[in-house]
Amino acid sequence: MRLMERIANNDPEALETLFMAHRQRVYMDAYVRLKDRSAAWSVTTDIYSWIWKEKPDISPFSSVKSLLQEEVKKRTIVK
Amino acid sequence: MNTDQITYWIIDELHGDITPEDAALLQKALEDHPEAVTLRNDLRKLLTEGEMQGVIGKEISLKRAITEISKGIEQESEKNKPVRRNFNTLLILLLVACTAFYWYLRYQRNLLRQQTVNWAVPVYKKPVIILKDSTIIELDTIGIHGNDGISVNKQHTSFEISGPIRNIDEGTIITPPGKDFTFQLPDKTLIRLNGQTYYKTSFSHTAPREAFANGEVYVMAAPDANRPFTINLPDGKIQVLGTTFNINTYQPDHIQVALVDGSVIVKNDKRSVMLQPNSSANWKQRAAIQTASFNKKEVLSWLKGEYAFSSITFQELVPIIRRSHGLEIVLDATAATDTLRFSGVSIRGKSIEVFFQENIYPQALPKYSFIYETDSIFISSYHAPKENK
Repeated sequence: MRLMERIANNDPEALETLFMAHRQRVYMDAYVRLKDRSAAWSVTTDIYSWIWKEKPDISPFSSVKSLLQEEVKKRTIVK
Repeated sequence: MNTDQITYWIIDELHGDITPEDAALLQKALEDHPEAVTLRNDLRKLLTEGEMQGVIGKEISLKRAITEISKGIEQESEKNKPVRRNFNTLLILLLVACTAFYWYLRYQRNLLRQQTVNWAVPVYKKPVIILKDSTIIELDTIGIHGNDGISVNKQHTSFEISGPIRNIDEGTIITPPGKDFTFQLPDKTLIRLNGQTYYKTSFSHTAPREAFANGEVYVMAAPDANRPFTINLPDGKIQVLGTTFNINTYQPDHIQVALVDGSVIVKNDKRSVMLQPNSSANWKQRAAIQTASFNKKEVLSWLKGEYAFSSITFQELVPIIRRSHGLEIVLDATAATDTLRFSGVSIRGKSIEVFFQENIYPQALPKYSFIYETDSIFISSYHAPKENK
């Protein structure tokens, strides 16, 4: 079963795996856009909380990485 | 130029986890677009200086961070309804928060390393050769019958380069952490590269033999009176006179060339020395070279996959475990509390948990807790393991 499907089935290990795989990229990407450490950190944790709560559909994206990149972009524009 | 895409590649590169394919694409973008070079310089500066630099020096208390995050989660949980769901969410978020801080600390350490070791070798997950034209050859995909000028043994640990590869006469060999590989170069020189080592060399049969090494390399140089052999280091150079020696540049404050057989001249800006067998040249970056005898068993133990150490701190254990097992250690303790001293041998291929049980736990427990992840170990002096899982 794919990672996002496992998250959709409330598998906490899948969320952990997702976090482990992409946390640094997400944080650095957010920092590059916001140039503020705490704001970047907040965006990073928000995104993972959002994934756990909302179980987003990955199908519009080519990969989880793209989904995360898009989410960082979206959230940093709003900020 | 797709700025977003190039930014992602640069972030991957800084993160030390860029795939060979993306590295090649980034390289091409840098060659094709001068503004990409500016972007990369700006991003490197942004992520290693200014506000980020201020953060690097700070001690981060994991305990305090978790307490603060837990408070926030508890307040959030009170607003929500079903108790069971709140409890599960709390656990999940706490897990994410702990892991987040763990990786945050690791990230800070990586940045610190990038700053203090400005010659840090890029991290690849597999051995690669990057040719002068930016083509990347993943060495685990080479067939044993050889092609493109390279052949390999069945175990994919020993490679023979017979001449220019795909008609390109220069390239850089990079090894992944935790594994070592042997290469026979076209002049019959044998080099054995330890994990996370960088060796740039010519593959030509006629060009001058000039290489650049960074990491740890055991060299058995083939004599060739007509082609002098020079190995440049991040600080200094070695003039090889037909010989066998070990180079170690992992730590800028302890660069070492240890001569086993033959003769070499080692020089940097401050001093030049000629080594005799069983002696070594030792120096700190930008400082004068000192000579001394060396313990062959200890210095060359990595050739047998063994990493002996004696009376070292947790901080000093970090590079040893990186070399022996390819694992990162994230230490959540201040320099003032990192006072325990450990001795032993880390053996490549042996379970890391067994290694810790035998060599570290007797002194470190219960003061420290240990969390084992797939590619790293988190050592904390602040809380017991059960609080994390």
